[in-house]
Amino acid sequence: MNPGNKNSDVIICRCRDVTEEDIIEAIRDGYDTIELLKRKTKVATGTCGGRTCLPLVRAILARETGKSPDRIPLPKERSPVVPLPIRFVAGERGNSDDH
Amino acid sequence: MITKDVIIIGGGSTGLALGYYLVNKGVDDLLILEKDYVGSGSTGRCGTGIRAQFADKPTIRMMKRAEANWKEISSELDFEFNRTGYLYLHYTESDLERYREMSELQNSFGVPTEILSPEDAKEICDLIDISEVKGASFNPEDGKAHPFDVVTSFRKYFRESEAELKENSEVTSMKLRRRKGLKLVKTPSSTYGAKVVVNAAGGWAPKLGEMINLDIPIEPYRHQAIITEPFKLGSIEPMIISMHHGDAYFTQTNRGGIIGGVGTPEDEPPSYNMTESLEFEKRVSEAFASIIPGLKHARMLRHWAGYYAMSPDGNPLLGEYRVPGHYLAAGFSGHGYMMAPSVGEGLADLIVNGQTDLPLDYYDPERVDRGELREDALQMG
Repeated sequence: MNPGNKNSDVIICRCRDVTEEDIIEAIRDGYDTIELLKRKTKVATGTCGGRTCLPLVRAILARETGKSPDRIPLPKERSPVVPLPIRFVAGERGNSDDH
Repeated sequence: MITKDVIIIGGGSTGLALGYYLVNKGVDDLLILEKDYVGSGSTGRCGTGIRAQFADKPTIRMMKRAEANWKEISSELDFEFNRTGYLYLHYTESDLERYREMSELQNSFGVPTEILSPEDAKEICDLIDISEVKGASFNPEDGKAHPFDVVTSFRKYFRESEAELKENSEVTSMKLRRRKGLKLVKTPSSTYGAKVVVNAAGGWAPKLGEMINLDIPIEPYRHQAIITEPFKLGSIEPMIISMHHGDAYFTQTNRGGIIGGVGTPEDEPPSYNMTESLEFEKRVSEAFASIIPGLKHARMLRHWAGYYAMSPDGNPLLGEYRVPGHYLAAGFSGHGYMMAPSVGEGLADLIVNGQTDLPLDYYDPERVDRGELREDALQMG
């Protein structure tokens, strides 16, 4: 992905601190779908909801398994679309410092 | 046709734990069929909690054993089972009294539940607003395990064992060959046969029953849950329960997020609907923020739904059902994940030795045919 660096230097998921090496090791241990990788490595379970890392994870999976990226399904997107302070949902008026 | 000694249908906590105990008892010629990936059903959607605080003797015994088994399996398979306790908060004197009586029953089975003052409850988790709390019940041996850790650990175990776990293998039809006692199980890629087939398909168990013209009295009820962004570990150690706040429950997972939910409205009918509702987000947020005011500031990250596979009496259906060699391990009514290791041990005993020291008779699925319903197991978390 970044030929100048070692895999262990390349952060794929910055929310959960998952490196390219973590992903490759997990794939080699048989966690060969995005759903399984999420469960094994925590990738894509952080605050950004996988928006940053999922395309990278898909690219690594495609490279490691030889599958075409469009045959690697992405996980279901969950509500809320952006992380939402609980008091907003509970009906309390919020302050702007939550954004 | 590929023949096996035992086929388990369902790669959730129940099927995986049963497979594990069968292998331990020497049944290597075993196949687990999972329609999607391990834990893709209700296991991966559960609240993570494991408790022995129940109101009836058989369930207390099953859960006492399950907790011991969780400890053993977690150390053998190397995942975290954290015995951080279940803390039931009581907001009325009558609830407190009811739980005091329940704790005495639990104590008589060696489950060390204690009744705590509001101040002692705050000692266990200092974020709780105790201004309205009358008391609490706490069992320090209860705990939690992350279903993602659990299913990936079992997956690794089966990859290294003789037994076979096949994902993406949905059962599309089943047939009974009564003369030879074989049950045929078809997936899109193969046909398998075994004398012993276990239906451990959770909320989907009745769909398998239909394939062999058996009515399995289980109905899927949607239950929703949320998780927040991660916080410093140790923020909320126990599973916190409040019936006073719409049957709210939550705890912090070992990955940092606060996970939990509230009960489903009683008028919501059973269905295979797995969508999330905004109405739930509002109720769960109100509940969490009134139990722990600081949670107001936590950000909700994800929201999903899973099933409580409800049996007619809220207790699981465990054992042979109507056809020799056809077993049910389903209908856990919200307690399947926590109970999986003792259910697995007990059923493996039944299948291999024809008997078990666990009170599986109580959960005999044919009780429903006989009209012998049990008292409801204590719902909650």
